[in-house]
Amino acid sequence: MPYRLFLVIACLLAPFTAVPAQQKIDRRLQLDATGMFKFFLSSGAVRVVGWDTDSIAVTGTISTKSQFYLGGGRQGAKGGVEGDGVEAMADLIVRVPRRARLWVRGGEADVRVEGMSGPLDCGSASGSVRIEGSSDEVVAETMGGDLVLVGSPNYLRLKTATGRVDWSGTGEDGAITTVSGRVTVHGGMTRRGRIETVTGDVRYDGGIAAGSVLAIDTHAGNVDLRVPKGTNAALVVTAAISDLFGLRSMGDPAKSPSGIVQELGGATSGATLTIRTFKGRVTATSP
Amino acid sequence: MTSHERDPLPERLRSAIDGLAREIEPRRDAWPAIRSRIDAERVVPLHTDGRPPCRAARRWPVAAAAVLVIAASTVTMLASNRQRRPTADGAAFNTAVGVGAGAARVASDRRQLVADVCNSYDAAADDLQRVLVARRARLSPKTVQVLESSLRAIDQAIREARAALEVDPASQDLMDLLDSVYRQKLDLLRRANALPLHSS
Repeated sequence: MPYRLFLVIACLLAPFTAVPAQQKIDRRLQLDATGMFKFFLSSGAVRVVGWDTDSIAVTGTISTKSQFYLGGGRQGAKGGVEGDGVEAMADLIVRVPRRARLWVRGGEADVRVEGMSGPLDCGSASGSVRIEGSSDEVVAETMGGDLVLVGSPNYLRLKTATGRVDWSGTGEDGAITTVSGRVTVHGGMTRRGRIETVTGDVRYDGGIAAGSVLAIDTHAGNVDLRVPKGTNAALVVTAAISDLFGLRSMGDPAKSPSGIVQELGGATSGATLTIRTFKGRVTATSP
Repeated sequence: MTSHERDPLPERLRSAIDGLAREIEPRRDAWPAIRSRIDAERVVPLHTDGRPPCRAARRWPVAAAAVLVIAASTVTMLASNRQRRPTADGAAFNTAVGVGAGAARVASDRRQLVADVCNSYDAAADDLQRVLVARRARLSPKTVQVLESSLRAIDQAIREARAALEVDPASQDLMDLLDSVYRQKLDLLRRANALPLHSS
């Protein structure tokens, strides 16, 4: 009984002993509406929010052992938290002009961006990245962290290694790359798109516009394609095992994956959807 | 267009322009090897006597050449499509290029091509991996773990694709998949080498 009591007390106190002392941050700096802003932090979390004011405002807390910096001019500024690991733990909200060009990186920190319409370049090594907004150009990458995008940029580049990618929206020109991270797309690419994984599964739930080209390459991931009813495109699949709209095909495992072409809706639109996997399974369905 | 632009050129300017060389050759000492190849395939002008180029009497050789080029291109394209594109009933992509000694030679050439491509990629990856090894101690343990598991997955995929290409060297799809995995490896290594380092 005393042992259990000691354990409970230790668990209750643990969070307080792990958190270093904190200092409050409240800093502001002028920045033009379309100025460039770069921000870096090592660990913790940063939430960047676009607003309709020509200035940057940073509020929140950082650990006392780390140092906050913010400087620059009206056309370009940078800020961040210096330090490593728990000693540089930060929890910040950064407000920037909505149309600003934003570059933000978190070493192990989670990055969240909301309400921006300017070009975005966001990343974190092992933290996650979440973007919601109307930016026309989005480049985002993580290593192990998940990457979530809700938006429809015309230019899109998303990369992770083991992290999951989840995109809801449409875009003209998109490329998504992971190693083992699962890729989920709700919406799709309307002109040209490429999704590449090594072992990560891919789920593409969306249409393909006339004349567009979409390619999905994966070594060992399974591909789940869900296209809207009435889709008009050439579907070219190379896989050992496939189930395309109920038409099952099983290749010879001793040989190379075999190829199948299906002309959806007569395939008169000029759109091509190519799926290749070395040992994954391809499934295509339509409601 | 302004009235000034429509005016005929002054005689002095016209004669100066006529006096200019029609072609300016690159310097001979620039890229001699490339130069010699260009010279070997130099296009001979069809008219050098100042007469209009499209005289009826000279049209037929050009037309014949065009037909030959189109025919040759079509045959090549069809042959290429037969080799690369799948058939609607699900037949295999990888039809044999030929039979007997010819096929064996093509297979051998393709294997050599695969080996060359892999060697080039491996050399680039080795360079990047050396940089990564030097930086590794100052990356976060979590990131190192992600990198190691990702590189293991990539190397496994490369081994499997290469083994499949040994059996079926003519498969362009396998080649493309291998190329994709290698590009992923290089990209991952480049990104890893660009990550911020811990100060300790």
